[in-house]
Amino acid sequence: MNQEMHKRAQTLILDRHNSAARALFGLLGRAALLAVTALPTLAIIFILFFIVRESIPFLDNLPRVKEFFTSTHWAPSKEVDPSFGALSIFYGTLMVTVGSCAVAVPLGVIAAICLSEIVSPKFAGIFKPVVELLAAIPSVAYGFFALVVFAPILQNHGGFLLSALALLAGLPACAIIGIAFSDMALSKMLRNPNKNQKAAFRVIITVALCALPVAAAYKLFSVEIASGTNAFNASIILAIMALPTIVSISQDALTAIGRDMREGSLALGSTRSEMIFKVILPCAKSGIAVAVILGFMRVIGETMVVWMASGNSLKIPEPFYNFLEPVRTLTATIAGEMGEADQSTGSARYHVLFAMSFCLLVAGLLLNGASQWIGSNRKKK
Amino acid sequence: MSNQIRKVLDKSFSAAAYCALVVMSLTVVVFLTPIIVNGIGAIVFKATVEHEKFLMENLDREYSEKVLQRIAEANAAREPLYKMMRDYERGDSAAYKKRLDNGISRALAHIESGSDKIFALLNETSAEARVRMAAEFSRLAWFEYLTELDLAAKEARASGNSMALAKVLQAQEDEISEAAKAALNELGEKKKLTFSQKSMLRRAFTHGVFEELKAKEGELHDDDDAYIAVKHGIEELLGPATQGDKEKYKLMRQKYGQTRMSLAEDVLKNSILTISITRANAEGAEVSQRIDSLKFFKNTPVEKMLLYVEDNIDAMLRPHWTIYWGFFTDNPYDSSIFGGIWPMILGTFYLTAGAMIMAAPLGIIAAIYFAEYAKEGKIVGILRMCVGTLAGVPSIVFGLFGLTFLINTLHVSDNKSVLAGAITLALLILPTIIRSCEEAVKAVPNSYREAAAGLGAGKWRGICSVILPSALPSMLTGIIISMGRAAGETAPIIFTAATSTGAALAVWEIFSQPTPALPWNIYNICSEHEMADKVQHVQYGMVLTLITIVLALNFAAIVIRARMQKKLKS
Amino acid sequence: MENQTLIMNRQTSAVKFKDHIPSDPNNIDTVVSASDFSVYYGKFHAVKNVNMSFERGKVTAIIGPSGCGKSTFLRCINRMNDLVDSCRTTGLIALDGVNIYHPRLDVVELRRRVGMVFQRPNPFPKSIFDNVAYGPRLKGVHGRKELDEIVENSLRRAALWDEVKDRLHSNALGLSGGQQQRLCIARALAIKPEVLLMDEPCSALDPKSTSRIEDLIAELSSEYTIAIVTHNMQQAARVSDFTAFFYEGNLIEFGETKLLFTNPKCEATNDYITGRFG
Repeated sequence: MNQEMHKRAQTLILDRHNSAARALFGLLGRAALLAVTALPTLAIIFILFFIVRESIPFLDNLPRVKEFFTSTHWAPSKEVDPSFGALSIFYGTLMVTVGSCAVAVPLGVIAAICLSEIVSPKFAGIFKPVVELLAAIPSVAYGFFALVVFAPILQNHGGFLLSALALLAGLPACAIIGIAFSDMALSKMLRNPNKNQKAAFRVIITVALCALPVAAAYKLFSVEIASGTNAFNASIILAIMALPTIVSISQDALTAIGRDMREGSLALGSTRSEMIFKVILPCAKSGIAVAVILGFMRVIGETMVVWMASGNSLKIPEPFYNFLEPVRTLTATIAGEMGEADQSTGSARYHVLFAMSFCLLVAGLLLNGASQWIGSNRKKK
Repeated sequence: MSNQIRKVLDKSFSAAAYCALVVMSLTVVVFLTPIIVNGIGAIVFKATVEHEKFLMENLDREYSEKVLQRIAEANAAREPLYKMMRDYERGDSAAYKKRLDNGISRALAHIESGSDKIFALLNETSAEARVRMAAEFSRLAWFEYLTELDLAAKEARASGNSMALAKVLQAQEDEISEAAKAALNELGEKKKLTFSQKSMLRRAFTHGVFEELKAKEGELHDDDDAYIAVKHGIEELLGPATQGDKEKYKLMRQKYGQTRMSLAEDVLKNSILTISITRANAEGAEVSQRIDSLKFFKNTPVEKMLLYVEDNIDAMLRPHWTIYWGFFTDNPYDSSIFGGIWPMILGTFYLTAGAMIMAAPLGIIAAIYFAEYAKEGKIVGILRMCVGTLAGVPSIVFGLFGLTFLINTLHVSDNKSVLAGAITLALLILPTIIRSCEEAVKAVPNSYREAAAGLGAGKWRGICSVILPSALPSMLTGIIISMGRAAGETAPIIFTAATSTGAALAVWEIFSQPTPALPWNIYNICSEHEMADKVQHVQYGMVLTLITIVLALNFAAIVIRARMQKKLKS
Repeated sequence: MENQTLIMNRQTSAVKFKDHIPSDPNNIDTVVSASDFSVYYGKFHAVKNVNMSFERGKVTAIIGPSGCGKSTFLRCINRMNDLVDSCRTTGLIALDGVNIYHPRLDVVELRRRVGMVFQRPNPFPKSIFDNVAYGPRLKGVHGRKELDEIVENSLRRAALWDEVKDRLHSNALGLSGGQQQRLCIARALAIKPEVLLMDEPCSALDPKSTSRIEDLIAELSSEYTIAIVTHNMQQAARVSDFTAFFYEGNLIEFGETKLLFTNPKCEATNDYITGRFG
């Protein structure tokens, strides 16, 4: 019995050899896993390194850098004295980003609110595939749509479309604002108004406000769009691309808020939309901010849609807010010029494109950092 | 704010919220509908016999008796048209020449006999009167000739001999010029004329006739140009008339007529029943005008041809509905005007499979490390930050990186290749795969880990035998969705793998050769194609194919996950 | 409150750190013994200086109110608490005289010798057959006939064979709660452990399944040494030969079940058994 136990006991303890071997094995295994995991790190370091390295020859030259950021004269392929003024290209990127987010953020956030607060969870689950569908469609398909379907419509029926949009979006908004505003003003201006005075006042203010979109529509109706590929086209399509990101992340942020917040507000007698605006949104604002930033990032980095639909013109539009003019963005410039520039490796033409990528990378890194900082702040709360 | 208003605002906000959803749904519908409808039109369409001829002769398709008979019937229907055209183009110029030459000689005789009158002219005092009399003289002299010319022109146009007559007239100009010069010299020597006297005489001899000749020539050339335009239109519609013609053409698009009935009808409308010809406008510049052919050729044999084409287009082309599955399996011919998109589909497949093969194992291993082994600390924090940063890099920067690092520095291939493109795409989708696989592993209940450990499984054994299998459905979902993303990306492959034209690659070529791919070729065919309106169906077809592939991958991922989860739970 | 412990003192002196041969051959009846064993979760002292042993072939129950450290102590016997990062132990636990906290101890082999059944049934999302065969396969048994035999024996011993013999390859998650727990027992038995640790195995089950498993424990006790943690005193009284009462991390009393329940030596034990607290 003793000997049997002795034998069995022996197998429980490993001898030095085995133990060391096992420990080593474990360590090697962990190291191997770590090495593989470090690959994306290597990749990002390499990417940063290469982009920076290839853009230094351009950025070295200070007067050229000044020209890059301030001049609108872009002629990199000239044999003698080429110019690298990229201001109009930066402006194009800015214009398109602002335009698309101006459409996508309100629309996306309101849709997210609807999905998380207003419709039943079952319906929200059914609607999820719609959002995922929009997210899954490749960007070149969006670019195709922008170029082949949307651009001709803009060119041939642009005025009609724009005026219809002004009416559809503007009239309800102005009517609502009119009603709300008239009520607030009513209590301040007239003392003890009777029913008729109240109604008249309301109607006058509302109609006055509604005149705005009607006037806008009238003016827009006669607008002739010279080219269907312009900043407006690109902005709308990019807005559609950014929507799924904004909607799904905002929705997550909104649904994460506990029931007690909602019940508390409603119990105090607020309407649903007051609850949403006064309680839920402020609570979810960091989550929604992250969603907006991610939408931004998606739009800034988009290449194919802008290459195909923004018109690729080097002028800053006149006046500066005219979206119906063609513009050019950083990504489209890189994509368009790289093919030829690669032939002349080492020239300023080649390196300026890396300088542009560097700007894009920096923007992406800053936005990413911002979204992570906001996200971690939220967790701290 | 009164309660009423608050309620109104509440209701209107709800309405706005619903509108937002409606707008999103409408967007999907508005986006997909034209693509689906027109994309299906690339495969299901009304084809003509030209389509079948093309397939038979270039792709070795075997066809039934019925089809061969259809081709024969179409050819039979075209014969009368071709005969009309042959007859029209034959032209007999000799008769015209004779008539007009007669006219010239009579005119010259007039001039000679009236030479005394001319001298009276020269002695006139006022220049104005001199000019007037010279013009009148000339008019009389050439009157018969011009009448003859007019008649001849009318006849020629009616009988289809414009070309022949135009040639004659061209020669006549020189003849008249020569004859006038000779007569002038003779007179000049006889009477010792001054320079101004000579020029006055010249005017008397030929005033009016050259302009008329030029005008008539112009008209006849117009006729001819118009006829040639119509002839080109018919060739565009039906293809070359004879085998000989066919063989002398190099481009595939010249060897066949229209393969799709919709395009054929466009050709009929824009290249046959209305045509473009160049004419001199008021300022004398050459501009191209569009004219109505039937009106232009009224009461000429060409009108009969046009009416024949219009009435018999169905008989000559024999349109019929067909499903062209070859769109997916055939190679493209002549810039995608004919054939299918197989090389693009194959290229997309290579790139996507390659990216997955490289990214999936790395992603899974990294996810296991993050979820099971990593102790939260500085290093792991940095690793996580890098993965997150990689996810935020714009796709065009990946493409640049692929070009400068993989191709120019590492030389994974000398030029663009599928390998370089697949590596670039793998880098692009790696962060997403890591993220979704990590969540999948974290979602495996801890009780499994404990049970496995309790039974004596070491950490790695436990992971491989219990945790990975249960995390597999979610991992697969994430991987397949990433594959869908890789299939649709364009920017990373522009510089690293994609080429606009090329044959389908064999497997061993993927390490060194670039490939056509759906995303890149869609861009190409929309922006840089020289005959964009002829290949619109191909554009839509490629977009529909790409969207279908991506959505099918997404759908497959969801179905796989649902199925496997059912199996795990049942 | 007095701490009365009853432990074989010869055991404590015999086992030294490096020496794994028990000097007293009479101690072969003790399979597992703990000596001055403490567990810390971070700063929290969860188990305080426990001295007790488990006799071969007997069922030892560990009872006490929730949070008293009984599960923690049990899980240290097969070093499951290694999976928790903040856990730290002092003192020693010996299996067959071998210190299981020896730095070169083969933990995998330890866990094969000391099996565990958990509070919530946790069969793998595999087939019933694969669940039971998991352990043997780890050991290297791959022959189909051998595995069939082992699976059948284990399922029989766990009183589950008749219910599942026709659907061995269907998914284990389709079984009822009681069946799943018996499957986990069969799974643990399949590797032929010396000791079977059971951490409140019936707390997630209905009464009928509970009584079946209690019968099972009685059957198994002839072949295996069983240590069962339970908060159900009646269960402890029914199935166990020895009982240990834990309170706030201390082992208050240990003794034969009959004696402890009828005539506890400590007032705290008495209070707990009569229901004054816990």
